[in-house]
Amino acid sequence: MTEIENRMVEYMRPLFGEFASSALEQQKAKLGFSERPGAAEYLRLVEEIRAMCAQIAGTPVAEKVYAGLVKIVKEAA
Amino acid sequence: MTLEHPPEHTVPVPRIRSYVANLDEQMEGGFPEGSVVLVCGRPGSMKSSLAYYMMYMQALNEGRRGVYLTLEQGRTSFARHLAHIGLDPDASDKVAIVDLSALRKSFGDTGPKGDTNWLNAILSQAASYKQLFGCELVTLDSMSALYSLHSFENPRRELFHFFEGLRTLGTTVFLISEMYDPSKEIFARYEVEDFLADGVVHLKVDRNNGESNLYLGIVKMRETRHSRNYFPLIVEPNGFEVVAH
Repeated sequence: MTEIENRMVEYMRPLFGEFASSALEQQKAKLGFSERPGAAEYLRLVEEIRAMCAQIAGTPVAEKVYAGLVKIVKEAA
Repeated sequence: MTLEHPPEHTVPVPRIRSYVANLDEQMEGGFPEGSVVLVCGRPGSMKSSLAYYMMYMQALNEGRRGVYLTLEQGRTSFARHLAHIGLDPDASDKVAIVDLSALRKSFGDTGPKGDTNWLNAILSQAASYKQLFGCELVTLDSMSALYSLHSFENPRRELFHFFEGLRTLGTTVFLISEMYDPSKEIFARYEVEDFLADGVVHLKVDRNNGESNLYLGIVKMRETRHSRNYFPLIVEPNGFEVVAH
């Protein structure tokens, strides 16, 4: 896992608990992540995680998680 | 039944109102803040609806945030049910329904390492949600679902620590508990949960001659002088109500 992914997992942990890492890996696999993903790929990943959060905890929570993850991606870009 | 006046010099306990009309008067104004309360009843006794209603009304009237954790019923299905009885989950962003069943479906019941201790996982998740949402109220739906996930070696000991863990969260907790044997008043599977809980609210369905009536009784409430009567429970378009004698 890259540093940015570790930061994303930590950000997701309050909602996903111990499933945070699995959730990120599952969405990466779904998107067919490349070996050296760029910011655009990570933003697509964040969109997928937003959809997943909405299913688990509703739109307001999903938007909060989404904003935090976008910030992480942009800071790392 | 008339409640006696509390003795003088007692320190008032902060209360969480149920917003069930006529009920709070029967328990000194509500549930003691920070207590762990079992909401028990047979299937169809409106346990989940009542627990959500109390959180919803707290959010609406007092701005208290809540998290409703569902382990079996999906979020969409539960939200549709709530909307049907006039509780629109989208009307307040202060009560989050967290669908742990979706996580179970996606990642399995045993967790990423295959050895998830669900009692600890729920405690840890509830603590995280308290931080994430700033919630003061938590509902876990249901204890039966939790039991289907957790392998107990010593139920009494493990449940003691689970209830203590819930108490140390500093939130008021409602635990939905399903009762299966209509002939016995066993409030939860291991028959210790009602001793460990601070409060027990029993929803009883009385079926007679094809008619079905719902009653609510406060079986137990620590730090509270409460009525021990069972009151008819009515669900009106504007909320829940008990008919106090």
